[in-house]
Amino acid sequence: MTAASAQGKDADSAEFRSELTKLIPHLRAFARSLCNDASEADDLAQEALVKAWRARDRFEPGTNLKAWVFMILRNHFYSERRKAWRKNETSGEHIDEMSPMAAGQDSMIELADIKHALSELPDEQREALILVGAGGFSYEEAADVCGCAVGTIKSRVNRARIALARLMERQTTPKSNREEALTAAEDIIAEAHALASTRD
Amino acid sequence: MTKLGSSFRPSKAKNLAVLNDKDAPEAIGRRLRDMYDDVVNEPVPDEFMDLLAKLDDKPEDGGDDSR
Repeated sequence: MTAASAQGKDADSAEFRSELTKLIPHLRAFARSLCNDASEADDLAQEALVKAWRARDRFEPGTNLKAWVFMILRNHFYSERRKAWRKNETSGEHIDEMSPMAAGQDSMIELADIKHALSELPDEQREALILVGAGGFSYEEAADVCGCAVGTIKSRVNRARIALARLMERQTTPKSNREEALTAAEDIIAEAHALASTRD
Repeated sequence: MTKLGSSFRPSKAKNLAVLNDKDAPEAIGRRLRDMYDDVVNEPVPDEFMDLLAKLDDKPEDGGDDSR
């Protein structure tokens, strides 16, 4: 390698590193939406950064780096989860605990609501909605990240929006119905009393 | 939709049940963006910067995930 081309390569590496650095906040946010658990999400984001760095020769300059690194993160997440599942199947262990939510702030209550609703969506709908609805990705970029057709992403986002609205509605109704339920219970008790007194 | 938020509640609307069907998707969309932006706006933990500083300049095969 000549000195000039080595220098060019160093400059490319420095440029790539600085572009990756800019993506960190977004990678963390996307990872958090996939994992829920904050420290697990940060591990995932770091692993994706390392993978992207090592594979940087395969990145085509001029294409969308953010979509490329998101794709790496996403693929890594699903392949690790598949591995974990396989392990659980053989060992008979089961990991299905929700990470406890920090409470205390008003905004945390709404956040917990939407996170819970999101967790009930199928994976492919959740990721499509996060990318397009929260991450500001175009349908085309999201299709690149998820490795599917643009039309598929559009319909996933649509279905996710509808499902999420229904889930959120369901979560909030029991609270408003509580009073109604109490009244109903009181009616039943009163009726029981009435019946008991007629029997005497 | 903004008029509803301001006249109805000083802070962010909390309960979707009180929003009508037309406004619910808007409220959910806002909340999704808030959730994502909250993380984007967090300061990047030092471990990330340490990690980037440690990355060597020798590209290797990064496995299959970049395909």
